Amino acid sequence: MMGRLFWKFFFFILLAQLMVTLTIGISFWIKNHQNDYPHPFPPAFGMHEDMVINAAASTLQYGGIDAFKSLLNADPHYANIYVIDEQDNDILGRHVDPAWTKYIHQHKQQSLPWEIKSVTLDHHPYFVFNTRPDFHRPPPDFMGGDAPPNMPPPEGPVFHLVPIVAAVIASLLFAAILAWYFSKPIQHLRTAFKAIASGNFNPKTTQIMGKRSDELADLSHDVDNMAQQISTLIDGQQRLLHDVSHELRSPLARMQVLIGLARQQPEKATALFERIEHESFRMDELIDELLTLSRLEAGVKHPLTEETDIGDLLTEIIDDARLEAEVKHCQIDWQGEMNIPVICNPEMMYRAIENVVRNAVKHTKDNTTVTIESILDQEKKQLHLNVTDCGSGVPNNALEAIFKPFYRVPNAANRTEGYGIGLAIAQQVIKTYGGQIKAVNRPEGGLCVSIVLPVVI
Amino acid sequence: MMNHVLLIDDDIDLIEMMKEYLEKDGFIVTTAHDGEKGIQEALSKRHAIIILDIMMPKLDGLFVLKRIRHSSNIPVLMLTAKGDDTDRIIGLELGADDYVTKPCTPRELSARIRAILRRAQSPVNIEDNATITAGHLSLCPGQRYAELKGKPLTLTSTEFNLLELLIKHAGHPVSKRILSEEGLGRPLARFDRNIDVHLSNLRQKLGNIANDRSYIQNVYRQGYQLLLE
Repeated sequence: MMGRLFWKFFFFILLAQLMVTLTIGISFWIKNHQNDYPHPFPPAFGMHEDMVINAAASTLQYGGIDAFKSLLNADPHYANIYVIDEQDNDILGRHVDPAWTKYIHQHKQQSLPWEIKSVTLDHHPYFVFNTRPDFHRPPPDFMGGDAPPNMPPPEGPVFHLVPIVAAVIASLLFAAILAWYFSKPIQHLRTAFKAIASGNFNPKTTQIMGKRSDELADLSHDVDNMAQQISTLIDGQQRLLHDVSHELRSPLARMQVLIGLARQQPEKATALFERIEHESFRMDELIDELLTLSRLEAGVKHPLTEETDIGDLLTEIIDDARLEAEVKHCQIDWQGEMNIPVICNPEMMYRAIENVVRNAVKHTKDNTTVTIESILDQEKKQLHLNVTDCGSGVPNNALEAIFKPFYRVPNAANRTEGYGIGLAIAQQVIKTYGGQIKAVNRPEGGLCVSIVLPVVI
Repeated sequence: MMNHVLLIDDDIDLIEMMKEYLEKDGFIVTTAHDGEKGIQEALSKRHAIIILDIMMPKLDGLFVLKRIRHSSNIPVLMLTAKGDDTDRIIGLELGADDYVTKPCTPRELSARIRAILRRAQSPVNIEDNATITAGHLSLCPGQRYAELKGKPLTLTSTEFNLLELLIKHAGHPVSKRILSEEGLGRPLARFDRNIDVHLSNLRQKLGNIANDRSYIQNVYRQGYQLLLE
């Protein structure tokens, strides 16, 4: 089915083509008539025939036969001028075609056509005429004289109709092709958008466009990319939702069992209520972290951005984490630059670095040291912050995945508390302030998380 | 043995609390925190029933179920997430006896365990000890033994219960409500596909009678019927 767009294109293109055809036609017509009007007779050797015949007639009338003879001899323009007397003989004795005389005698009763002049010399009538090759077919009589009887019928509008019809058909054809050329891909795009709207995120418009390469092909390419992007985003959200409900269900399941236990053993109720409370706090915490993450992922920049000393933050974080480390008899060792000014929101940055440091403390083995290294790159104005633990590391194929929400390394030796959102939050914060975060396994064992952040020096 | 429960779940806190509750309720409980250990325990044949969490990160619960069913017909009660119908159906197809959606109250779980155990260990009386036959099928409820054309059938306890109901009414349709209440020990819920899944498993195990028809036929709006040959 051809859409409205097709018809709009079609009619506009057709209109334009018809206008052009019409304009060109009119201009040609005007040009032809301009040529026609002042001198409708074709020039003979550079002179117009009506002038030649008039001049010859005047010479004969006022100069006499001798003057006419010398004119003919002197000027080749007059070579075709014949003068016949009453006996139909040329006064110069040239051969006279009987057809000419017949033509003249046919007309001399009436008014003579322009090409025959009658001259009376010494009371004898003479006829002056020009024996052009088409003497019998003079140009159309525009001076009001009669047309010669053997004149062919005038070229009617039938002959002009053929090129006009051809032009219109050609216009129609080209208008249709052009309109189709534009409206077809737009139809495809529309179908693609409909498909996307109904949940098919792989419309493959680029394939339909084929080898076309123009703005419309680019557009379809962009549509494909967009669909892909949306699909990835939705998949991510879906997975996140699934993980969130699962994570929320775990504390809920525990709470239900705790309540069941409290019913079964009322004497233990107080202790059980405390655990129920603990579970509800965990749920609250999880929701809080999720909201933070979703805000960060949505790209909402925290308004309170200021010059923050990462050194100060690190001092606080390490003090906090030390308690946890001491339980495992672990050390936290910090070396390097202490004064590191970075433009960021201090609270968010604190959370990001804290998550990385606590993660390291959590996963390092007992009686080992977590090493924090801060190096300032003066040239590139960057901070390199490396947090290294002495744990078992993560499988190489999971090095990127650990920054995804709820990702848990399969077969992790120790099931630790937490939801697996910490590193995802850290990554989002670092990204927000123009930095990068990545994890590498150290050859000697353990994981090294390195953060690169732009600093103000 | 009679009331020995094996709990397989990766949530250590939860499983410990469940254990506490169930022990107070009169069960003997063994726990396993991952699929690997769960399979080992399950195949030790010390337990009367297995409670299996389907959503386990390391070794998928469905895989564990498949491995258990490979060599044992012990009743299995699945713990599935609410709304995760695919896992539930696959679990039933793999031979689980019943399911409970998580989170669930321990009371509900305890009641469900009891229902399954009661059906699986229905007391032997003289009438039940008799062998019921229908065509090539013969069933001995007292011994929980079934055979087809002289060959023993390997049935889960739920499948056995359903077949027993059908064979007792052989030639007449048995409604899904009765099948659910008496075979599964739970009231029939709206849109409940459990019976259908169990019976489809049973059909596959029985094969076809002479004219390529299945032993068990779905009678529109009336339930299921065991055909008389």
